[in-house]
Amino acid sequence: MKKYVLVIDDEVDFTFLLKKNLEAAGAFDVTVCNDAAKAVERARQLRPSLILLDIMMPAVGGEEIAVDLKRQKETKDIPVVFLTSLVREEEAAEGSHVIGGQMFVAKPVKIQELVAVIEKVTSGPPAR
Amino acid sequence: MRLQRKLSLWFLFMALCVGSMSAVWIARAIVMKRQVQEFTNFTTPTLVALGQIKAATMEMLEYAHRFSALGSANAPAQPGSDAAAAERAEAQEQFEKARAHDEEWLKVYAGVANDPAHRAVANMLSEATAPVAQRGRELMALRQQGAEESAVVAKRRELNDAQRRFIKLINKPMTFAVMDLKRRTAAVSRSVTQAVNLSMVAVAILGLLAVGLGAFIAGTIARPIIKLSEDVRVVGRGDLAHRTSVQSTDEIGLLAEAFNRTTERLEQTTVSKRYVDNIITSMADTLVVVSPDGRIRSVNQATLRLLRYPEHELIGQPVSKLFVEAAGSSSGAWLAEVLAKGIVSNVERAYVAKDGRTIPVLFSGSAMRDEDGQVQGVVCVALDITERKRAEEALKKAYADLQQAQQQLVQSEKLAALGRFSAGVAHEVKNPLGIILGGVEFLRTKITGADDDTKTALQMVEKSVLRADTIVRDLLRFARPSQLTKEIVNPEELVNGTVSLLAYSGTAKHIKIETRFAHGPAKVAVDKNQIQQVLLNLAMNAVDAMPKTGSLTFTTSTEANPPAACRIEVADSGEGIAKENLAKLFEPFFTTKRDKKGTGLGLSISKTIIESHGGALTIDSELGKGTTVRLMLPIHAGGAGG
Repeated sequence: MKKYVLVIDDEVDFTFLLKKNLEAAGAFDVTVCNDAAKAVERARQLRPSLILLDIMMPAVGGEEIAVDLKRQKETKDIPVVFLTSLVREEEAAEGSHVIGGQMFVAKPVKIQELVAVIEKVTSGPPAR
Repeated sequence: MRLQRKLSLWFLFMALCVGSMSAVWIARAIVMKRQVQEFTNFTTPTLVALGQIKAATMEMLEYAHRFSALGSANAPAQPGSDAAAAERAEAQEQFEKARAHDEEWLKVYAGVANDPAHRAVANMLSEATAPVAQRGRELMALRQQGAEESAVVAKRRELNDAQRRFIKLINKPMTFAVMDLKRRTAAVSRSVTQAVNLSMVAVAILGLLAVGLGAFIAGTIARPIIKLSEDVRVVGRGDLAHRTSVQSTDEIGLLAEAFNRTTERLEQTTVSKRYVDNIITSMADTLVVVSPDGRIRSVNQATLRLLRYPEHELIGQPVSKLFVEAAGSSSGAWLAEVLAKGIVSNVERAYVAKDGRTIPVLFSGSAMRDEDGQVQGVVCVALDITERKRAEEALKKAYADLQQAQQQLVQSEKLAALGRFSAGVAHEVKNPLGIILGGVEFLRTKITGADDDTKTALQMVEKSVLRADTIVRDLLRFARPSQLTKEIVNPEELVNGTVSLLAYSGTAKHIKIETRFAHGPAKVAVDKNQIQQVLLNLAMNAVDAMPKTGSLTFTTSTEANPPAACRIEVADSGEGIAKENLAKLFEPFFTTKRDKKGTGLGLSISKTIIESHGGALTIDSELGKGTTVRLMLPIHAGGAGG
């Protein structure tokens, strides 16, 4: 069964290419949400198997969205992987993609890496 | 009493003495003259007249008796009776002559006799001689007549009686006259003796007076004047503080007072030579007087002290002996300058002491001219500015330190600003990089059938994007050092961990790696990951510096000097770092490996990490010999117990 991925990022060009690349790379259905304000609502409606969440967005930050998602009964179990350009390598051992218990993938996103992370998160028990 | 009066009195006194003595002398002379006159005018003629009278009377007697003895004229003619007659005539003639002589001297005597006693004597003598003459004539007449022998004898007896009476009479005045002569001679002799004595006394008194006057003149005039002239000489030599000790109430005293007043005024208004000498000697600054031909004429004590020369080793020497010759300027040049301009002030020069020390001085020279404007010499004053120089150097160093500190401050401020800036940039750059990378990956799936060049081009784009991403990531790390997660570790653990990572990376197979641990029980409280990252970065730099072969040595030790620290050295035997690059090593983005994989942030990040641990990172390097990087980390206070 194809995994359903919701990408929440304000960068339209980026999300367009990410969607294309993810769909090309594997069995993913990808939905893009470029409006942070509507992100939580969209997640509740779509119930994706995984959310890729940009941290730095205008208006609402990625962390707030993540907190909101955790509060909602419908979305609290959906794994979230942060996409961030402000990653600090020393905060996570190479390849672990975990910072403070949260999964992340550094921008610029290398598609194989992202695919690997998605596979890992969706196949195992939900990360906390 | 004034000298003039004293002298006048002295001379008056002497004149009085001389005058009174002269008066006495004159009186005495008058007496003597009278005495002499008396016996020349009276006694002597009296005595002469008496003598003559006596002689003439005796002559009369003799001729009378001779006549009588020749017999009577009436006696029978006898042979030779004519001759007897002639003899009788002769005797008679002589008799009369004597009588005339006698009478003449009687008159003389009577003329000389000027007092009644003598006149009486004169009368008595006339009366006494008359009978002699009478009896003599009578005798000769008797004989002439050829009278009886008895009558002749009687007459002869009468004559003899008359003679005796005469003799008796005349002997008295004669004796008296002789006595008188004796007396008068004695009186004259006494007077002469007295005069001689008087003269001797006078001479003695005058001599004493002369000696007294001499002593007086010597004591009151000559001695003070000699003393004064000595005092004048002393003052003349320049001792204006000198005063004469001559004191008296006379003109000499006035002169002495005037001398002292004048000297005092002179002292007040004149700067004496000794005073000037004292100033020069006491000057703290060195003073050298140089003749126009460049020879040292005199130096003061300060010069001798500063340069440690004895005076005789400088006097007459060329002044260049004192100077360190500055390049391009000989001592002759400054001398010529002083002579031309008249003055050179506050020039920094250096003196050379006898022991060779160089002493920086602030030098001033000034030409000394006489009234005619001729240069007599050059007066050089030099101030020892060793201390000032030292202070200047210290100030310079302090300023340089300050500047360096400021630069570092600016640098770190710059870095902080850069950090803030780069955080913003990173985000803005990473999104486009993400898009490019996404685009590349999308295209790659679309051009599976494309030619190799297209694929290569895509690969190059991807590689460049990743490279740009690395730079931004390093920049971020540099800009926002993460929170430290400190744990207490043995430095050995840090080094060994790094060596393992290095071995694992496989990049250092051609390098000989050594570790030396000499840090004892010291432990450090550090973020292990970060320090290992630093060590790895340093090791990778070292490996890059040794492309062929070489050795890499990790050494740990401790620094006892406060602050106590643990030292970790990473030393390589690589190519070293050029001097001009050493200073730039910690500048962000400085790299000599631009063409390879360097971002120019490694050392900056390392330094930031070490400093965030309260430590220090320094680099020593020598081109061609290698580089040693030294980390100093504070020793954990718990020591071995950690």
